[in-house]
Amino acid sequence: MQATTDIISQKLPEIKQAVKAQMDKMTAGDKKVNSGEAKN
Amino acid sequence: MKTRLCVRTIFAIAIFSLALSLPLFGQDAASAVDQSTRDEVVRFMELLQVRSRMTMMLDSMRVQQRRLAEQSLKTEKPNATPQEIQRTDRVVDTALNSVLSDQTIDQMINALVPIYQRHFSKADLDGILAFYTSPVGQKLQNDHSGHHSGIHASHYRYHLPKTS
Repeated sequence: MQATTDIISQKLPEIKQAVKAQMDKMTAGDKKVNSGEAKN
Repeated sequence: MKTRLCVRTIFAIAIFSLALSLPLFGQDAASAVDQSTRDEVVRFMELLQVRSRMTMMLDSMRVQQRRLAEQSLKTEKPNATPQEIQRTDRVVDTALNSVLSDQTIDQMINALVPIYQRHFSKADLDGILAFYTSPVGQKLQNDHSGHHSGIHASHYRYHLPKTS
């Protein structure tokens, strides 16, 4: 069953990268909103 | 005369080389006969519930990623509202859905087939399949999946030697 675990582990970096990209997108959006609110 | 000798030498070398390579041909034929088929490997993976194990692993990965994202949010925003936490979960789900499609497990199983084919011969798989389809094999399989057996260490009183 090690092969099964290995093959899923190979997917982990891709998953982490996708989560990071989405989180960064959310944070960037929040910052934009916050800076807009500060200007107003 | 010289030409005849040369032809004889070449012929002898050719015969000798052929004789040396015969056991190799035999070996190839034997390993081809003992080569497990895709269907046998798929049956083996079905018996070992590889698909449901993969689903469980990916689900636990999803939970882990959500937890990490929530922790990261709480570090940046200690007073994060439940709505913000839910939004973070949704963001993680969007990310995971972009990477893990319905075909992901099929692709992983397809990638596993040649690996198991290299690792297990037909004879190996016949033995494994015979065991896992037997009553005791089924019992072991159910114990491993842990859902129905109720065999959990926490259910039993046991004493470990004290380390002091």
